Formats: sequence, structure tokens, C-alpha cells
Amino acid sequence: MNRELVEAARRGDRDAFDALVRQEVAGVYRTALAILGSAADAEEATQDAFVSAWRNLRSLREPERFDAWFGRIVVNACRMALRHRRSVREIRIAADEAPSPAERIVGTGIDPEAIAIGADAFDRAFEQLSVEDRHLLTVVYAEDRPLEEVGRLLAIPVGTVKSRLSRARTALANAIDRGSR
Amino acid sequence: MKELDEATLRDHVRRRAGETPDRGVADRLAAAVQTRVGEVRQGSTPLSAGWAIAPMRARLALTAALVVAISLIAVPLAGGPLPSASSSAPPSSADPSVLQELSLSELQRVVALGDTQPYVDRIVVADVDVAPPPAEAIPGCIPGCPGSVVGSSPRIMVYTPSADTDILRPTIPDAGLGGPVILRIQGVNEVELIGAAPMDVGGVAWPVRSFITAVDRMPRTMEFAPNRFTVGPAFVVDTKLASGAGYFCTLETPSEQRIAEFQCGVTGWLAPVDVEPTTILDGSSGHPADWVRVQNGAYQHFAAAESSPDATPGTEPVRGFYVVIPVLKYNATMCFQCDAGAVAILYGRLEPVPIPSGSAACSRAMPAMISASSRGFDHMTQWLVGRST
Repeated sequence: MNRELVEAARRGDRDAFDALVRQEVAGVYRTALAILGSAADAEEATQDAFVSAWRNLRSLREPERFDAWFGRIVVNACRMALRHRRSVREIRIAADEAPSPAERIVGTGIDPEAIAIGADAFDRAFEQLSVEDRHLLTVVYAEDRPLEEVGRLLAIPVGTVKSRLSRARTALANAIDRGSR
Repeated sequence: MKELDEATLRDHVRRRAGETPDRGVADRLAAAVQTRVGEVRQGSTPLSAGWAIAPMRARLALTAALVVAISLIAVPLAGGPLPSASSSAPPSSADPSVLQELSLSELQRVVALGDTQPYVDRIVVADVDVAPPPAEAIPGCIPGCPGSVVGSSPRIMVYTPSADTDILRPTIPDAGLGGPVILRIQGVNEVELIGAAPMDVGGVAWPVRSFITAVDRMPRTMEFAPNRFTVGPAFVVDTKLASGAGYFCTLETPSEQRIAEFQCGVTGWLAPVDVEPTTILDGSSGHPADWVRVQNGAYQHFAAAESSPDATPGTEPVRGFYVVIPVLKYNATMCFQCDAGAVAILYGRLEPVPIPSGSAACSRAMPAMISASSRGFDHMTQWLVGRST
């Protein structure tokens, strides 16, 4: 996060905000994609998050906490995207916009054969988790952030990060277990 | 229960996140954000921003679905819909065997608490009329402007779904929409329109066989392309939701342009309430003609009651009132087991919502935001063509 950009954007500087967008958009999109599992939804949530950030930036009293503040906005945008599609999430009429699990694995350096649990089974279980749990697992495992940094990002103590992470992993294991019966 | 090891968990989460989007995707997203931000004042409210983002949603809508509106279709009834609880029935009825239809005053009290559990995101049937957006008051705001529930005070805003997230995209005709209507509660005094509930004399909930017959009699005159399917308006159907037995695939389906949720998989079915469906047997390629095929996984998704969403569904059929969107046209070669009977999309499950007391609702009510509009209603049926690939 570039504090100068945040402060300038907060004062209404569009160029600064555009620079922030360019700087953050790829990461936000990946986070949203991991949480939502749909490219179309992730794009929408990403856009919504930035628009919401722009609209509310003046209310950000501590620019140095932009990451935590914006992280909550991203989570909320993902939650809204899930609400919209909740009852029709089994119906993907625009599948061409969302790569299949197998397609998505290409380029990640991951050996599909090495993954013990199938992608579909994992995704079904993952999508039973709360948005907050998905977000936590994403920032820890997809973004590989140290727990101290995750704590700063989520504005919670490291101990809380650990306990929440443990609960999220247990919930995921339970969901996988239910799905395999 | 066995937790995934760190490496496996990391691999899967990274797989879901995908690789870093290429420059083109990032640039496109940044440009879209910049366009939208240019239409939104910093510090503006979400409501006014809603107007601003409408053109973007409309553009997505054009790429996601071609909406074809056809004027009134008289749906012939076979046996007719079931009688439903009248709006004058005692409030707070929690009897799941009776379809709850909210009156205006009941809806008013429910949506006053619309951002809290158990109301937020719930689907309800309400015997109310919907007025179109007051275009004259907010020039250029269509599409994207909310309509409103006629007679509501504080005004209940009625939004139409965004086409990029829903295949269902009902619109509010200029003349308004007559009730009963199917709505999803979105927030305090905010609902999303799912559609006008098809009905005849006095009833909204349809038995499965009547639903099939009514859908069979709907005209199928629109152009049909192999990679599209056509759906009708949302019905409320009184039915048993049943599941296929495990992953089920005895036939090959085309590898391209499949209707993804209707190919091989854990099949979902709607059965008449007077039969005792257990499960579809593995290896069977047929099913009773009075059963309706719904999307794979529908049972797993909808069998657990909304009121206890964490409950693990069993295997028994679950009777209830479901919001069902009939598929009128599809390419049968791309839909395994769709050839023998009706096909539909299971959109949601209706369960009674508790009616809060007037005082509880009043304390949360918000002031009206848009002035009253005209009334005078026709029943319109919205049809659409969605991509299936």
C-alpha cells in the first residue's frame, strides 16, 4: 500500500485512485476468485469493491490502515456477490467465462495428480465456508502471507488469526467429510 | 474427520485463485473500475451509485442473456393450482404445509427488519402490486431504477436482478405488475423481484402434474440455437425434492456446449407429493413422466431448511414449496436424462417467515425515498433466452 496514494485519493485525487487501482486490482481479483470460484463473479466483486472504496474513502480516518479497511470492503463485495447468486449457484450459464478447476490449475505449477482430494470435492467443501473463513484461508495460503501480516491485514491479534485459522480448517475438514459420505 | 495437510490446502486454494491475471485482464478490470468510478461521486450514497452502475450491468446483461418479453400468456390449467393460504390468514403461521402469502402490512413489517436474520435473503410470496420506477422523477435512470410496492409506507423498493448473476431477469412493465409476486428480501425496505407468480382462481402453489401440463402448453415459438436454452417465468410448485443416488452417469454427453448442471452428476428431481419417491436408481436411464428434472446438486443445495441452513440434508425426499423456472427449450443431446420429461431450474425454497410485531418493525422502518407512482396493472410474463455453454 502506498500511503501517499491513499491520502491523495482520500482528498479526491482521481489520478491517485486510478494508480491505486492499477496497483491492487490483480491481487484483489485473485482473492475474489478464490473466495467465489467464478471469474464473472470475481470481476464484479472486484469492481464493486473499488467503487465502494472510492465512494467511502473520505471516511477512512487512518490511511495507514487502508489494507485492513479495503480488505473488509472486498469481503463484503464477495458476500454480496454470493447473495446474488446463492440460489442459482448450481447454474452456470456462462461457464465459458469461468475456467474449470482443471483449466485453472494450468500455469500454477501444481501437479494435479499430487492433490489428494479432488478439485470438485474441495470446491464444494470450500464453498460451504463463510466468506470470512474463505478470505482467511486465501490470504494465508494463496497469498502466502505470514500470520503477523495477516493479523495486520485483518486488524486482529496474531493469536486470533491462529484460532480463526484453526476453526476454518476444521470447518473445511468437516465439510469435506460430509461431502465424502 | 481428517484435516488436509498444509501443502494440499495451499495447492487447492492457489488453484482456486488461479494464476496472476495477465496484463490484459488486469487492464480491462482497471479500466472498468475507472469508468464506474468516473460516474460516482466520492462520498455519494450507494443508492445514487446504483444509478451510476446501471449501464455497466446493462452491458453485462446484454452479453449474458437476451431478454425477450412476450405479452400476456394465458396458461391453461390442468387440475389448477392448489389453494393457498389467503393473505387474511393469521400472521406468523409457521405451518410449512401451507404456503405463506404475505399481505402488504405483513410484508411491510417483515422488510422493516430486512437486513437481519431470519429475513435477509429469504424468498417470499406477497399479495402486493409493484409500481414501475418513476422515470419522470429521475430522468435516464432506467434500467437500474427500483420500482416500489404500491401502497407501502415507508416505501418498499423493488429491484430487478442483475443479469450477470441470475438467469432470471424479470422487468417491471410500464403499467406495473399485479400481485401476487415472488420477492427476495434484500435489506431494510428493499426487495428483489423474482417475478409475478403465475396463478388462476385463488391459488399460487402448483402441483407437479399441473405445472408440467401448463408448461407443456406454453408456446415454444422462439428461435432456438444449440447453445441456448429458453426458460419461462418462475412458478411456485408444491412438490417433493428428491435426489439421484450418488454420481450417476451411464451415457456419454457431448464434450462441448453442455448444459453444465444437467449433464452427468448427482441428479435432482421434483416428484408429485402423492408418490413416494426414494431415489433414482443408478443405471436407470428413465424416470416417471410426472417427475421434473432439476439441476444437479439441487437436493444437496435446497434440502436443508433455510431456517436451519447448517443442517446436513439426509436422503429422504423433502416436501415443500419451491420456486421453479421451467426450461422450455433445450438441446436434449446436451442434457442427459432430460429427454423423457419436464426440465426446470430449481431457484429457491419457500418457507414461512415469522411476522414481527408492528412495534418491532416500526422501530426499524426508514423514511420513504421516492414518491408514489402510477398504478393499473397487467399480468406480464417475462421470458428469456440464456446461454447454456
